[in-house]
Amino acid sequence: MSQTILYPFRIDTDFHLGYAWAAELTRRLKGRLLLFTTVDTTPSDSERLAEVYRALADAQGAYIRNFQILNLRLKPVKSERNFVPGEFTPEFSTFLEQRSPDILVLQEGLLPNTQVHDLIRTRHKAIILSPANSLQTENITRKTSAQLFLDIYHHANLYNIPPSFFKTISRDITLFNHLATFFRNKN
Amino acid sequence: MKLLDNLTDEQLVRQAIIENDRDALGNLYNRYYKRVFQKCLSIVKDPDMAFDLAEEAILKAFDNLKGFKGQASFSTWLYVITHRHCITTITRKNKQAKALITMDREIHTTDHLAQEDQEAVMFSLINNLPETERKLLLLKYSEGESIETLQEMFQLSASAIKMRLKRSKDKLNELYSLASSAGLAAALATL
Repeated sequence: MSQTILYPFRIDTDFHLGYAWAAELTRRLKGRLLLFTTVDTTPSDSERLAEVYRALADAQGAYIRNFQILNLRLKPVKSERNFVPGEFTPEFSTFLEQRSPDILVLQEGLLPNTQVHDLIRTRHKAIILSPANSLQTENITRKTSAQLFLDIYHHANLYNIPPSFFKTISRDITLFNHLATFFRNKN
Repeated sequence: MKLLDNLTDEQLVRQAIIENDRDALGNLYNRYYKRVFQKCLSIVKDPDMAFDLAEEAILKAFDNLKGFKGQASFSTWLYVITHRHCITTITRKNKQAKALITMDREIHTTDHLAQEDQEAVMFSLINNLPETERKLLLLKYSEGESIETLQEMFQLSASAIKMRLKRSKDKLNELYSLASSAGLAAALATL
C-alpha cells in the first residue's frame, strides 16, 4: 500500500519550494500526496477557491522547474486537494485526526510550536523544512534536482523517521552514499 | 544569469529541447500554466478537475515539444492540445460540454488524418482567417478573455460578440470538413 504524504500550506506564505520538495518526495516514494489548506470563505465563493488553485499552479511550476527532468517522460504529480473553509490551525487538527498520513511534511513556522510538539509526541513521522530563504534560493538553478532534493533534506528536522527511510528515498547508489556519508559524519 | 523572461516562447522551446534547459521549460510552464488552467476551468467549471486537466495537458504538450513545428504560435499549439485533452476527458466521462465540443466532435468523426496533420490543418485555417475574426477567436479561446473584455475591445454588444464567435466556429467546422475531403489548398482557397 502506497504511503501518504501530507503537505499543508497557506497561500499567504512562501510555500512553493516546500510543495515542490514534498511532491518530489512523493514521487520517490511512489506515494500519494495529500494537500491541505483553508479558504477564508464559504466553499461557494469560487473566486477564492480559484485563487488557491492558481497559487498551487505557481507551486507546481516550482516543482517542474526544480525536479522534473526534460528528457524523461514527464508524469504529473497527482495530489488529493483538501481545501476547506475555516481557520487554518483548528481545521488542520481536525483533518489530521481524520486522515492520519504516513509522513507529514511541514514548513517551519506553519503551525504553532505546541501543535508541532504534540504531533511529534504522538509519534507522527514529520519532516520540518527550513524556510526557503535559508537555502540560498538564488543558487538553486545551479544544482541538479538530486542535489537540491538532498540539500533541502539535510536542512530539515526529522522526527520519528526510521533510518531505512534514507535508503528508500535514494534513487541511485550515488545519492545513497552521499546520505550515508552525511549521517556517518553527523554521528 | 539567463534572461529567460526576455526570450520568446519559440526561443524557450528551442532552448528546452536543444540545450535540455530545465529553466527554459520551467519558464514556459510559468508563462502558460495559469492560462491553461483558466481555459480548462472555463470548459469544465470545476477548479479541482481543471487543475488536473491543466497539469495533464501542459505536461502532454511538454512531452511532445519536439512536435512543435512552428506552423502556428506556441500558444495556439498549446491551446489545441489543452482543448482536445479537456474534450476527450469530458467525453470519456460522459459529461455535458459547451458548444466547442460540437466542433471537436465533428473533427473527430470526419477526420481521417493523423493527429499531427489534423493540428497542422487547423493551425493553417485559423491563421488564414480574416484578421479581426482570427483575433476575436484567439482572444476568446487561446487567451481566455471574457465576453465583457471582448465587448470593450471590439466595441460590440455581448450578443454580437457571441454571434461572431459562433459564425467563426461554424466557418472553421465547414473549412475543416472541406480540408479533410478536398485538401487544405481547396479550403484555403475559399478564404
